[in-house]
Amino acid sequence: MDLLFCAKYPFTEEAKGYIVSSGAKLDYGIIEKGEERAKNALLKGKIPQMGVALEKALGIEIASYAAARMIVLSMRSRFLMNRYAVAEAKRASSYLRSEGDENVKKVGEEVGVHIKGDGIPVGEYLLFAPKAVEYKLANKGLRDGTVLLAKNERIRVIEEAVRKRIERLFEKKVPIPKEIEEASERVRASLPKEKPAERQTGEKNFPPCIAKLIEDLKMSENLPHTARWVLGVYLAKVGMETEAIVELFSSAPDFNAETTRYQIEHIKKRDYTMPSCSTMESYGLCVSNCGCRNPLSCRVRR
Amino acid sequence: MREEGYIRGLFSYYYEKNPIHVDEVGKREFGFGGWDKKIESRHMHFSTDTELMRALKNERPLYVSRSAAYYEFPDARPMERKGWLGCDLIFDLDAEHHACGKFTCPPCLQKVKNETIKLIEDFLMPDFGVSRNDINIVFSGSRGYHVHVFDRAYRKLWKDERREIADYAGGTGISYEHFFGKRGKLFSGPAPSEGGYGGKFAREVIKRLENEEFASYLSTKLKKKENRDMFIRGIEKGDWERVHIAKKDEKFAKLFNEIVGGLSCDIDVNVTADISKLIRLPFSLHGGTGMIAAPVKDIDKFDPMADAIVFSDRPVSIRMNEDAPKITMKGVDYGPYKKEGTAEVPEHLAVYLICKKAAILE
Repeated sequence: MDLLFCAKYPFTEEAKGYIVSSGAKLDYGIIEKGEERAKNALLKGKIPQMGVALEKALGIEIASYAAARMIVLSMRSRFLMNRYAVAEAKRASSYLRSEGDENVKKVGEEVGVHIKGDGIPVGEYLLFAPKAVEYKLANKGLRDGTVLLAKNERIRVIEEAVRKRIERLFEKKVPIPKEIEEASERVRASLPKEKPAERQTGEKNFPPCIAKLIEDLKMSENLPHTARWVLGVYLAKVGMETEAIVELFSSAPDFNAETTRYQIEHIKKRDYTMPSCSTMESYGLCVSNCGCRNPLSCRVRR
Repeated sequence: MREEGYIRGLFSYYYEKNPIHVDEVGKREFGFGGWDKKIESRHMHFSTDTELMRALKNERPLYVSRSAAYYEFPDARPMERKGWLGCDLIFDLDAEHHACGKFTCPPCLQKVKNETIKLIEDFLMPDFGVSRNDINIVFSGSRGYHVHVFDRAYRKLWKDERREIADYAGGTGISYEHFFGKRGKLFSGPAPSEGGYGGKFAREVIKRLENEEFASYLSTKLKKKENRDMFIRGIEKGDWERVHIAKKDEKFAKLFNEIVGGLSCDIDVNVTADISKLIRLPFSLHGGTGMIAAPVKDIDKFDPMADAIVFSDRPVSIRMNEDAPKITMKGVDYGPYKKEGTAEVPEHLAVYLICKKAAILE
């Protein structure tokens, strides 16, 4: 068993096998590491890479993932689970970027992405490719059921598959030990007070594409860059206050208030033009045949 | 109404003589339609072919559809409780929006046939890697074709992923900037050996370069065969500037959009993306024409106005409700007909005109 591999990619079957065979117990040290991991993911949106790679440290690293997941699970919030999954996926992806093809392939296979040469089978690609114009199938080389991709693109697709895998793992309910419940309370106490749950935007006349984006955002979906930008431009154009927009974005699983505020201000300063419906369509963001030419005019008419 | 009863009777008698076999019949949802609506009732379930045929005999529907999806409980409601197991990948190609109206003209029928061939030969087989054995082309019974793909690699895909496939075939969301651009000193673009639209575009340009008029539109330098060959050898390696072309970005972008428009397929995106779609049951009759929605083996040779006709030559007297143009069925020309005119026509034409509500029984 490759311990280093397991520590880098603790969501794999191989890592699970290690946990089972090592008989690791949820002792204080592991729960503490798990708590730290969960805090990093939920507060900073980022789980740092490991420092030293001693065998004992690797074992704890793997176990800390299991503990962190139970901690997050017991917080019973879809938003927090998704935010955690995003951070884990980003961590895995940061390791994958310095891996050789063989390990990239191995991790891919664990999460349902079967790399063939330089490509990924189209069915799997469609399930895991980010929804962004540069990943639109029509812009890719597709032959014989395989989508040809550059290495960084293959890793990005795997990252998405890792995120979905971890999100799905949260659907399986497991009994939570008391020590984990306590750790989870401590993590919760360290989070900002305001609950990023349901809130009304006070505006029901959004065109279907914008309404869909807001809905996805509220469900803590991880929207791609283009989608966020479009939503930001739209809300800025209809005159929404910066703080209200920031608040709306706070349900994004990788939300960072400062970054969001800066970006919204930037959008307002630059006064970007709202993309037309045909551009929205090419971004893959158009969801309905509403017969408008621009989402902004759609709002006025309705 | 007399006509409705007449058609329902003929259909029911036809089904009695020509029972239909449905693969995995127990996992499909069925829907029936009548004189006014193509789907009047749905959420039906039949465990066997025999049960289905009994229903066709008793209810005498004018349209029979089945789900493209497979379900654990096809008759459960609402949708979420059916236990969705997967769905064939389907494409709907129709001459509906071609402007020839109620009586689709032969050129429009030919056009939609060409689109169907393109979808299969230029997209499904080479790009998506689907084997011809996993593709069923079915005449819709009216003006178009339904393409069913049974390849299991696509069965579990959800709506968004299917929409993406439809967008690919339709060339939606494609952008020139993703295929062309400066790479170092090189002006790089797609090579003909590439998969996807890039390769298709490069191959088409190389083909068009045989035409001198086209070549000189790009650049007068390309009038010379020598330069043309050099230019093509560059394209073969993805280098699109072996010969200098003025305003190349502008020209290539325009050309790209034009060529991609022609290479892509005219399909109904919403049908492909609908994972609970009811689609005409192969081998059933179309209530708007009386023709059969039969699987097509050799689409090149298939002539719907001959090969999809099942009713007899027995003479039937009809009276026209409206004007109808010349209609060719089984190689024989009929009409044109004037409103209020009466005629004695073969049963299959009578059925066709009555189903189209253009005639009544005399």
